Amino acid sequence: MSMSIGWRLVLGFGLIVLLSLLLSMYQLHLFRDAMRYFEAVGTRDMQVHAYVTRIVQSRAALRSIREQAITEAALAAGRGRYADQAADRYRTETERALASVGQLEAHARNWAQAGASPERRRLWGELRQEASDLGGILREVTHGGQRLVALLGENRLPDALAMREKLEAGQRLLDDELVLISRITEKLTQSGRDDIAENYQAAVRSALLAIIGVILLGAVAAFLIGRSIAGPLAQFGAFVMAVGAGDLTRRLPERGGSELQRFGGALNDMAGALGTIAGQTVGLAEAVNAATAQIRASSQEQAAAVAEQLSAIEETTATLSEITQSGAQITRRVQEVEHSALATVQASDDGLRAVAATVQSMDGINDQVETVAATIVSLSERTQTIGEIILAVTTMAERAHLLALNASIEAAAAGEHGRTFSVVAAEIKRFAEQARDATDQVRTNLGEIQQGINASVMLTEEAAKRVAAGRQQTGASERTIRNMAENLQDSVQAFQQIVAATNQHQIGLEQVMQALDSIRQAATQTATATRHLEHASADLNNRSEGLVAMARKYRL
Amino acid sequence: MSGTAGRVRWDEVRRRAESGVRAMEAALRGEGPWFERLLDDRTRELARPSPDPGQAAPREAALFCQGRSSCYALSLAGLERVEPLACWSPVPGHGAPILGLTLLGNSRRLLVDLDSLAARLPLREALRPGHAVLLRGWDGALAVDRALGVAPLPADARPGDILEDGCLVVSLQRLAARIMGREEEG
Repeated sequence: MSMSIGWRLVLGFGLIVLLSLLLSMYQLHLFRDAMRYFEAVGTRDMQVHAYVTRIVQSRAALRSIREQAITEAALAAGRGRYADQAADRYRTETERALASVGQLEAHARNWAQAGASPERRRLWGELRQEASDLGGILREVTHGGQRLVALLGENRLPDALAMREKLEAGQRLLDDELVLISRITEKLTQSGRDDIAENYQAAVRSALLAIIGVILLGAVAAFLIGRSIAGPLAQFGAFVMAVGAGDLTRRLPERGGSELQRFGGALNDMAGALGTIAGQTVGLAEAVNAATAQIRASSQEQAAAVAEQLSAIEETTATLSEITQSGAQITRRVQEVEHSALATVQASDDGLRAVAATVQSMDGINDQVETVAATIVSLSERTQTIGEIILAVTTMAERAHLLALNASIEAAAAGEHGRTFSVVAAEIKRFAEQARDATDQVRTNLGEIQQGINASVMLTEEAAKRVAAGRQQTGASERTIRNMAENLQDSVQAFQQIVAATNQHQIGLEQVMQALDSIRQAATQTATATRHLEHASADLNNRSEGLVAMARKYRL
Repeated sequence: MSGTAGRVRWDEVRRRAESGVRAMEAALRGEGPWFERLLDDRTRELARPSPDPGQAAPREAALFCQGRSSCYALSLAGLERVEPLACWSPVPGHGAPILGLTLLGNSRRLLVDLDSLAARLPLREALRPGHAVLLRGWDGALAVDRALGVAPLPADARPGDILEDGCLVVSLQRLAARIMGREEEG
């Protein structure tokens, strides 16, 4: 029987949903029973606790009433109305306590027969028994209490106190009984808890079993449905893998009319179409491969040509850069030489001014030398005058010398009378000698002065000659410096022209450098693009070869 | 005054020039070391004791004259005076020791070369200024290079002696006789 995938999935999911619904209903049933049991146990136990509590409260109230009655009786002796009120209250409370005990006994008797478990029924029976015992003890105690209150009403306090002693024993029995009842109640509660836990575990176990069962059923259903779908899909996968491996001759069996059969037919059609396309692709890939091989070869040739062109441009750029640097150095050198020439021109101007000042100074020196010469000549003339004076003095000294000699001769001729005169003659002679010595010394000094004057004349003449020679040399220097300045000026103009020319040349070289740099950049970009084209063509060729190889993998 | 490299220290030059001017002006005013030294010499000269005329007999004084080659001592007793000799005129026909005629004072004198006369040296050749020593009682004169001065002769000096200083003591009588003889011969 052929069923579509949709119906198969609907069947599987519907079965799983149905099982889940049944399982949920079962679980709800189990939990509802458990809740009922919990509620019943709790209600019963709470009822028991309520009875016991009420009995305990009544016991305490009875004791309180009794003790209050005793106290009031002791304090208000002879006042019977208080005892009457206590008796009424005691009686009322006694009836309430006995009613509670009776209700507890009835409750226990009821559940002793209809308990949930034997253990609970046994405990309920014990509780009923203890409740019966408690009722008996309570009746005895309340009877005694009523008697005590009556004794108090009769103002028989000592008797009442004695009665209270007796009642204390009954009270202790009552307390013991209440303790037993409480223990039984606790056991009932514990038993209820155990039953609840057991019922809860039973419910959990049944729920787990139900869940496991649903899971198993769902797994079986999923396995069956999956196998019915995965089997054809595995065939389809093998078919597709074969087609992917290039086997386009394989075909899927086409049976039935389900979606999978239709899908298999579509895959067969696809394989056929792919075979047609693969055949066309192989042809195209081979054509593309041939074209990319040609592009790759062309791009390699172009890349080599561009690389050679770029190398040539770079060599040209480097050479031109060196030429530009050399030109810049030449320009700097020429500018330095121009500056040096300008400085030299300035220095030559300064030199001309210095030469003019030197000429002026030398003219002044020449004038001063002439003045010195005139002064020396005047001094020489003065020395001549001094010589004449010396000659006159010498003459006078000579005359004095002769006068002394003649005086001596006359004194000698005078004989004894001339002896005194001879002394005068000797003095005159000494004077003449001193005058002669002085004139000799003056003559010597004058001769030295004359020699100094002659030397000064010679030196002055030499100085004048040297000044004239210096003046002449200064004039020659002035002419030389002037000629040099003119030549330097011409040189400066020539250097300025050279600087302008080198600047223009440098600007042209820089423009050529910029153009070459642009060409180099363009060539670099072209080389880069060519390399990219080469890589792309190589990659394209490789891919086309791969495409051809891949296309040839198809078995058509 | 000048240092290295020919540089002139004009301050030193001016200082020394001014110092020389001040020294000259001081000397002209009769001040300064030169004049002090002159005064000292003069004072020592005046302080020197002169010979006492009454204690010792005066020695004979002589005029010492310098010739061309030697010194001569002429006794003052035979001398008249000494005159400067500027020029003379040779006398034709007279030989040595007569030089010629000269004018001394207001009188014409026969000039005789003392060197030629006393030491028999040849006549002086060229005109040479000197002194002429006039002798008493004879209108001639002796030509010498220079009359040096008057000084006393040693006590034992005789004519013809040569003194310690090399001077020849000349006898005027012998000279006169010799001159006179030559005049007679001439």
